[in-house]
Amino acid sequence: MPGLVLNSISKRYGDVQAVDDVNLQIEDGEFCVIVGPSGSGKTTLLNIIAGFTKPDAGEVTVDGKPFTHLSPQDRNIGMVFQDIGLFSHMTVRKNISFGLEIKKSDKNDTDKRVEAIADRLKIGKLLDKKPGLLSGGEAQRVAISRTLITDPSFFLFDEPLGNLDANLRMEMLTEIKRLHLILRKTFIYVTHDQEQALSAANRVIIMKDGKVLQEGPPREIYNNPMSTFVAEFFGVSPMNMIHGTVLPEEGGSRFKGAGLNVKIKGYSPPEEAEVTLGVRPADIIIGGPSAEDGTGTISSLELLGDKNQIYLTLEQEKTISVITAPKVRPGLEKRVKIKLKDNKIFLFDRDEGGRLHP
Amino acid sequence: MSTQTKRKGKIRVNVIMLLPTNIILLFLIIIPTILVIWFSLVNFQPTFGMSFWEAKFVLLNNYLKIIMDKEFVKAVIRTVYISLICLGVEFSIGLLIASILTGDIIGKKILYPLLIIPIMIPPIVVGNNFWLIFSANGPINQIISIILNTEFKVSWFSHPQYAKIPIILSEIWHWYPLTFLILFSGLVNVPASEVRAAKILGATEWQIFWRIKFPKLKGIITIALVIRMMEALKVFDVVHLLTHGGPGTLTETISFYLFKYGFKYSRISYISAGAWIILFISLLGFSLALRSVLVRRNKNA
Repeated sequence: MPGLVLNSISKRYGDVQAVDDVNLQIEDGEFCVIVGPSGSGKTTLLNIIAGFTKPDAGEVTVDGKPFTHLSPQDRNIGMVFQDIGLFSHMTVRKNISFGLEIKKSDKNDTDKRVEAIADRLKIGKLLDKKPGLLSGGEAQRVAISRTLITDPSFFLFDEPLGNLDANLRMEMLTEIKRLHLILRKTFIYVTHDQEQALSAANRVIIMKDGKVLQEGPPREIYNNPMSTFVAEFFGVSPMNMIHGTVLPEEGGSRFKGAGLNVKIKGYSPPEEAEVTLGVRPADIIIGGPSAEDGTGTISSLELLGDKNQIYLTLEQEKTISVITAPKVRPGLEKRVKIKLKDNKIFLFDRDEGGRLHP
Repeated sequence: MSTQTKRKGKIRVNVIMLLPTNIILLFLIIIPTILVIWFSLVNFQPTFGMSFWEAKFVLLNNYLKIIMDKEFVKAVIRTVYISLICLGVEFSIGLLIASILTGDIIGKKILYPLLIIPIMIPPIVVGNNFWLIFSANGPINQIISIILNTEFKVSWFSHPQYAKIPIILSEIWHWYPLTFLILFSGLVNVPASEVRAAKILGATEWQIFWRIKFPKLKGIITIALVIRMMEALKVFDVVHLLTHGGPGTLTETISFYLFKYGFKYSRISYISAGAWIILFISLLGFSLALRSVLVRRNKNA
């Protein structure tokens, strides 16, 4: 079933191509997270969906019906903003009931719904306060409650937790996830913090310079990045990127760079080529009988309890990050041999950033 | 240096710095105020040939006399009436222009300075221009003639009903930039995120204005009204230039009345009492209006 469809959306601000020919299809009930560095066009895209920004080209449809020309008022969308925007002159109760009051709904019914929503988001005690007296987390709960009252067909979140501290952010994120499970409505969530994206999303859309670079379930993007940007940007521990050359040889090829000498199985380039090798920190093994891919000096060691974070310096001052089990505990400044897990090695084109292997 | 002597030194510096201004204020405001109180309680007329300290003490006689004067009461009512019309119209125009200019319109940067020009023009120039515009052979009569397609010739300044119109129009033209500027600054400060939130919840522009913007502007609107009302109540220049209070006394305002009796008929005691009455009424009105702003502000804090 087609839910929200974006069809070749483009938007330009002066010299900046904020959104560049974006095609997306977001199905009903999805929790879709758009991530990207600042300036990647994700907020512009959200504003186009909300109707605050008119695209230069392309169209938005919802269940096949055209949406592009509708004003934000007529789209029946719930939206939570980073700067919250609670109506500061109204009580929390009035803030929540605003969406119904402007449609002149029945007073008793409105009151009941406000109470029910306030209960659900645990803000029952705050109903008669003014927004100025609320904490950041409380204000965000009120902002979410306010969007719930009109029973919108989908929800947009524009970096809603950006202004909260780390603990509160996790708590609110859990709340939003719970809400998604109960409501089963489409959630579109924009953030630059990909940790949030990983834990919440059914689907992640990675944007850069106005383009969608890759989309899919978070695990798939993590395991299967299509470009150097996605590989480095996505994931709690970014992929190590090592420049080098790849030489064809029998049964595959061989990567040489920063002192590494790695056999690449199943990739046979026609000729020698400049590439970037990518490998996740957890896919590097230190020591062991088959550790013959290269040697490095341990320059830093963080014992994190459930894992060890190790930084290894290879040749040419190249430092890579390695994550090992807590029981592996080599000493600082020690030279160690390493092995890269065969099936976890990625090769990317040096100039274009596109993936060559696997 | 101990903190006490330091503080004393600081106080001395403050006193020295403030002294010149305070001396000027003493002669311009405090002494005249005391004199006006004295004048209002005695029977003093410079033309009698006696000094004001020799004048006979008459208690509240001047006050009673001026309150009983129908011409004075009418001038007060007329001034309030003219002020309220000016205020209403200026306010609507100011709000309309401010709302338009807060949106995205082309030529905003040119319009903005053009729109506030009137307030920078001296009252005497405004008065003279309106005198020209409304004179019997002036453009207003000619434009109306063209529209009606018949000869239209009204002597605006001597017409018993119409004489107020040029006064009101010149006041409106002269002062609408004030309400516009104040309301514009208020509208600009309404958080964009609240407007967006209201929009996405389905509020129309009209609802956004009345439910989001207007409540936030209440305080600033009261202040704009008070400032403009103070200005309007002392309207004098245009009356003096356009109608001279005429025909008869039909366009006399408070200040024109006081000017006439004070400087033409030299009834200093009489107009001093009038001035005090006006001051008292205005202070009462304005402090009540401003109190509502302060109460609201304390509640929000």
